[in-house]
Amino acid sequence: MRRAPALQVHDLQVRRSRNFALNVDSLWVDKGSVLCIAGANGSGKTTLIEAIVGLTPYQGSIRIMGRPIDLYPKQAKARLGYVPDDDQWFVPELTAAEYFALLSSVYERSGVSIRAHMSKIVQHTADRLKFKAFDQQLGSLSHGNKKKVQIIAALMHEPQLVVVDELRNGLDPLAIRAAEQLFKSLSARGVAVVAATHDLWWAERFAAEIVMLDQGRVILDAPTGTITAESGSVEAKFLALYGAARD
Amino acid sequence: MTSRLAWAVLTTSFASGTRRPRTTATLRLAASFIAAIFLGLNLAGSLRRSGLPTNLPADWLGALVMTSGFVLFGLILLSIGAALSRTDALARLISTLPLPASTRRLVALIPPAIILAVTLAFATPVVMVLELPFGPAYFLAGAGAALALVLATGHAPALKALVFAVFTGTAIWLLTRSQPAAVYYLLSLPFLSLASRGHVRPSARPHRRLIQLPERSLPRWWFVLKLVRNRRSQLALSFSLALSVITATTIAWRDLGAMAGAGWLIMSAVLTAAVACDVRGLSPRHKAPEVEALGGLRYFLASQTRAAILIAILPPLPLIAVLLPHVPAAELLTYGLALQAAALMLGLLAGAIFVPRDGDTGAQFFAATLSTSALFALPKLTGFQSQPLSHHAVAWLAVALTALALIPLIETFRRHRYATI
Repeated sequence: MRRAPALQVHDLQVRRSRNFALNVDSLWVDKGSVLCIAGANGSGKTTLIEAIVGLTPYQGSIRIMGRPIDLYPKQAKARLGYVPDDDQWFVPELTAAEYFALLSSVYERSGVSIRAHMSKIVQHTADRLKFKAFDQQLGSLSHGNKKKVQIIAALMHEPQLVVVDELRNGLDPLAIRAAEQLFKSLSARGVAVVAATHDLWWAERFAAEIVMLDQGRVILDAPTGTITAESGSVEAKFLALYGAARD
Repeated sequence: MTSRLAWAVLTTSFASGTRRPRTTATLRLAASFIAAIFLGLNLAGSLRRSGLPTNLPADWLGALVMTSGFVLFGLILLSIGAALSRTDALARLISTLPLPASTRRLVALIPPAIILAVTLAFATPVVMVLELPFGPAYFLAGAGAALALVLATGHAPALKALVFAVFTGTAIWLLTRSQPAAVYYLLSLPFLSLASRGHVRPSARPHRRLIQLPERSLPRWWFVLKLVRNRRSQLALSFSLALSVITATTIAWRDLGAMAGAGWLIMSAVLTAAVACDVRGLSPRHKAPEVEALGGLRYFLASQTRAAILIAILPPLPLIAVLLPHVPAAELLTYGLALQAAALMLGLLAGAIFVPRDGDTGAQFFAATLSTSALFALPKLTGFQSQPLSHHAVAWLAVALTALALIPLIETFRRHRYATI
């Protein structure tokens, strides 16, 4: 019997307006795999991400580690780490140290992990990302440091699925490389990574599997190796698919 | 200024985040003007029918009217002023456009001018009925509003609260000594000049944290840090305390405690409601990380309410201190606590409905108006106004509990409606 995947999406529908609805028939992300969701602006990448992390109402089924997030939101979120593309995704009045301590207490109270262990992970991740501004208020941090805080916060409770929206935004090249290595090492340990991006060059380098969206529908779901073997690059495939879709 | 720019200012100020901004802004403003005129005429009629005594000493009546003027005009403008932040997206956008300086100033003045007009529509018939025998009180009420607006923008809130308190205190002192009007005009100039310093030349000092909490207290009290470290809530708390101290000083000095007894506590309740309605707006309307990244909605609301209790405790303290000699302590505490609880919850409820964010002038105004006017309207609408004061405590507690129950319903409804148009 096959074990439950890290993420399983079935018959998902999110209606955002009269003109736009996201419809995903099926999406399957195994443990330890790295998947990139790519697509043009407004294709539904962030909508899909927000549905997966429970930020937007939806119809259909989303399971994290086999558990439906609408029925078991607490258990599902305990296994989920989220790095948003929103530099206000924290409590801006708290310092980084206070914010991590607060998150630790929330996770500890939910029985997700113990505080001392999470402190070690915070320190370890901060070292790898070269983040030092623990005593600074989050609202006053630079754009890049805010992103680092979000990455540390998303990983501190050892999630089994990490959802990342535009990882590269705000990070310098060194930090991008460090973050990539961090996610790759997590993937090697069985953590699934789902990243939304419009940077196809980066998606090709980072992900083992690519899902492309257009107007709220999946138009491609294939391993990166297969795409590059067929079309030369993910970008070439994207242009061909979007050109065909527009025609 | 083009009509498109004027509409952009109106819609971002009074109908931000709505589906049909133009229609909503027009409807909200029309409703505000109609309600202000109706309530003003209604109150003026009640005052006329009540037959106000004509032999009251002008000095304490003047002090009373002026304090009310400061509280009503100043408070509303303070909350609006606090929202006129330079972080506002429209203000930032306009600052990058090739517009003349006069247009930029005009853009900043449109929202407070409209709100001032709504307030005047309410206040004018009431003031006309009072037929006060002295002109300076009117001037001082207007100067207080202008000063409040200048003070509420810019930086150094504690210093500005002090300036506000000193100005008000000095003005009241002069008023009771029947000084000529020119004295007040002269008095206002240095204060306005001093207050505008922080507005024109913002402080370049690095942001400092005011207080810290031990790590073990964070899970329960993190929202307190959020409140005391946020500029908006710092301003609101500073001014509510300053206004409370001024009112308490006036009551003690003019020996007005016996006149209305515990009824004076409505002043601190108004302050509490006006400050509390701003608390929810410290977090985003949708997808608030304070909700989603932490322990969920219930944890957020519990943390918010726990921290907001500070707002309900601090403002009435000066008033309670000066009223204690005139009112039995048990009655004062029971009524005061129930009223403060109701004011706090009505403020939080109005905040949950409008979520007045930084720069969201209209929501700020509507939330402040809803929460404060509910304090005056509810006793009349529900009929407990005519009951003895001891019965009011139960009624206010019921109001507080009802509001407390409504807040999670509104937040849950908003979560379910997010991004589904």
